[in-house]
Amino acid sequence: MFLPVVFAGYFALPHKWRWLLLLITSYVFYGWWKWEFLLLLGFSTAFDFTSARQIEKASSLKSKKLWLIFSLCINLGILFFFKYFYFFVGSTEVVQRFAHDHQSVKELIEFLSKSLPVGISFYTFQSMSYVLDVYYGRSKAERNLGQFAVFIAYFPQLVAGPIERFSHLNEQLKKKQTVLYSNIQAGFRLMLYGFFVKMVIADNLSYTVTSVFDNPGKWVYYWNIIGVLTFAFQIYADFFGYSLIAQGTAKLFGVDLMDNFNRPYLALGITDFWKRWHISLSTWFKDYLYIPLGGNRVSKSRWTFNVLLVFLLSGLWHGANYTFIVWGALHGIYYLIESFSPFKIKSVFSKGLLTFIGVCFAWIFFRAADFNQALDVMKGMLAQLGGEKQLDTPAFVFVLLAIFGAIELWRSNQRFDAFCNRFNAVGRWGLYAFLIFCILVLSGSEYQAFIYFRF
Amino acid sequence: MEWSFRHIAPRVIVILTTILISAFVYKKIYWIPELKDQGPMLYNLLEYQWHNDALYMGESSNYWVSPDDTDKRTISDMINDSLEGMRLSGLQVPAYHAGMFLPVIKQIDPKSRVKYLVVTMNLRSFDQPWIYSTQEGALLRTKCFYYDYHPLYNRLCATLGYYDNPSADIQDKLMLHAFEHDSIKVNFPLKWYTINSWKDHVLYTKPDGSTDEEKQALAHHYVKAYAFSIDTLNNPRIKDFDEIVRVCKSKGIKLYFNLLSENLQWADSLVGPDLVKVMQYNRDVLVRRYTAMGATVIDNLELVPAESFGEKNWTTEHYDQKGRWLIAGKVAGVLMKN
Repeated sequence: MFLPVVFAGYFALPHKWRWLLLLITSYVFYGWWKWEFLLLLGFSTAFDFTSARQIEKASSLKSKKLWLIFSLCINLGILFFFKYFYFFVGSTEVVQRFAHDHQSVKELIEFLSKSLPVGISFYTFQSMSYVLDVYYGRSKAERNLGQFAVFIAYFPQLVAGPIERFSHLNEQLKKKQTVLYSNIQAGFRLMLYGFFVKMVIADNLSYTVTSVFDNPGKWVYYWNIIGVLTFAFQIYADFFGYSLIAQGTAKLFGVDLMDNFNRPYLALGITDFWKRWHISLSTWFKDYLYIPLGGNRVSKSRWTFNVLLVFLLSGLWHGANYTFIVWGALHGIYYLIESFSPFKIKSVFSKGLLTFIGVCFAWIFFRAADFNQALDVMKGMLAQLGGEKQLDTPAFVFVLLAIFGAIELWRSNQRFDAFCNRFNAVGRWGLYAFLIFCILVLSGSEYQAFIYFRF
Repeated sequence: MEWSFRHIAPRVIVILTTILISAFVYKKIYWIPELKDQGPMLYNLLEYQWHNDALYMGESSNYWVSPDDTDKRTISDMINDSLEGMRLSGLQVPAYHAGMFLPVIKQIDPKSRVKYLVVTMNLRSFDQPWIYSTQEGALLRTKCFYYDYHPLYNRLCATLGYYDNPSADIQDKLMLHAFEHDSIKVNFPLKWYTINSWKDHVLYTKPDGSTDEEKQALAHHYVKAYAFSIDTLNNPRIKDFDEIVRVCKSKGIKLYFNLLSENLQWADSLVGPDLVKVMQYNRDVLVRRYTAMGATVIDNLELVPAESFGEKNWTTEHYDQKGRWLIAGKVAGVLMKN
């Protein structure tokens, strides 16, 4: 009911009050989960709003820089405290022992171990990009705190991105939108496909993935391999599905969110993969870390360091666990191998296959709860640890996956809403009917939260 | 043009038709196989109700067997074997309670053969650890498949998470709060009136003066499991059992509650006679309430001797063959009388 009410209210209100409705509904949307963290969201918003204003007002480069550093420290400090403090500090033996004797510390540690504010990595990065854009002169500081708050908390993309840029989103949010049939049509198409990808593909694959990763020693080697391959498609479908739903929802309001994926498993190299996977995050790291570090206009050794740092941090961005750091490191190493290797593979198929295998191998660490589990899965793939041959994954799940793959190949570089225009009315509505049927009847019967919500 | 009725109406019709076809296809093809996994009690009911005069609804107490048992039959099978001229089958799923039985009972077809229903009444299912169990979310998800709506709607409720799904943290917090604050209201004096205060006074030490951790932990389990009084106004199980009585009356089904045996001897030896008195007090509340409402409460609370309880380090209603014989015999006797 939330979306229809917001939609009706938005277009019923005069333009000058719409931002307020979006702000209230976005905060309600976020606070529904845990209202206490609205304070954190509000603080981050107010702080970065003020920092950007101060940066713009500052007369000297030094004071601009000081405000920037202050802002980055606060943003990263909040992120570290809520996301990483427990892992890097709170769970250490010394702190645990201290907490044992101090009730308030114990409660704080327990709180941090269980309460990660949803979407904190997304909105913190979005907010930081705004401050950096103002610092570099790429954007002007927003004058209206409320409208800036809408940019940070815009509900379709608040909890799992795409991580938007101020210059791209804010103008659209401020624009006087009208109810356009083309927007609604495109919005529903994207949402429909998003629900299909998430509920039918990702959720149905979850059973196989969980069964394998929870007990890799139980299965024959090929189920371990299938489990890893399945996870590659599950995480893609899960996150891609969310991004489509977010894009579709925003489109209903006339807002175009950036594309977050471009058929990443068709990448012909790791550089290509990162131009296609979680594009809003990879471009964030490129624009706000890699390029300020010197980009490729530095010495080879410095460049190697920069690349590894960017990939390690992008791994760490996903969560407080060494497995994510290894995942990032692996991608960094792949990137360096690809850049330095004297051997150039000519066959497109071989390039694509090699990239896919490398990406899947890294996914093992991304999915595993810890190193031991990752090692067990790898052992299970290589050796006959368990004898169980029967994993009750229904065959139709793989048929649906094949259909999803076919749609992805067929739509080429077109977004799904544009892809639908290739068909005549009968073909289009046949496709819609098929997607609706699959969502209603063939979706995974277990409720699965979006994987990226936990980041 | 784009917003005209002629433009919109066919689209709405196609969407509605797709939904109707999906609902039809799901019910015809996918529902029953899915129910087998997702809602096993209803799956069995849909078949059993046409071949049985009586049904027995229970949890793991029905089928648990001791490794030493030579008779591996379930309680319901034992009852069935003792009945003459009547057929009874068991419907059982572990950890189920009245809140799970109720929607299944609602689905009994009035035209079916079922005239008698025996529903397990587990005293512990009224206590705080069970009410605030971390398994409740999973049970509530399964419950979606038992709703009296179209199966496709039920499925969507489960798929989209449209059910209460209390987190383990919240459940634990509520349970601990209840341990600290819920007062035991009985008509005789007690030394302690909350679980925590009672538990704090149940201490076991070894001859060397150190704490006998194992024995103390077991004694504390007994306090947590049985040191409560049933609040007939607010206890969710009471609401569910009340509704079960009402539903059975409306369907013309004779209802029996099988109040399961608890290990009163161990409760006495580990915690003391006050705990036994609290258990008996709760039993009396249930027997009085449901007898007055027209159900038959088969009181087995003190029937099974301590040695027939299967697990020695926990509070359960798992009985060896002798325990199951005793309960089955008594239930069968009551059914035959009626």
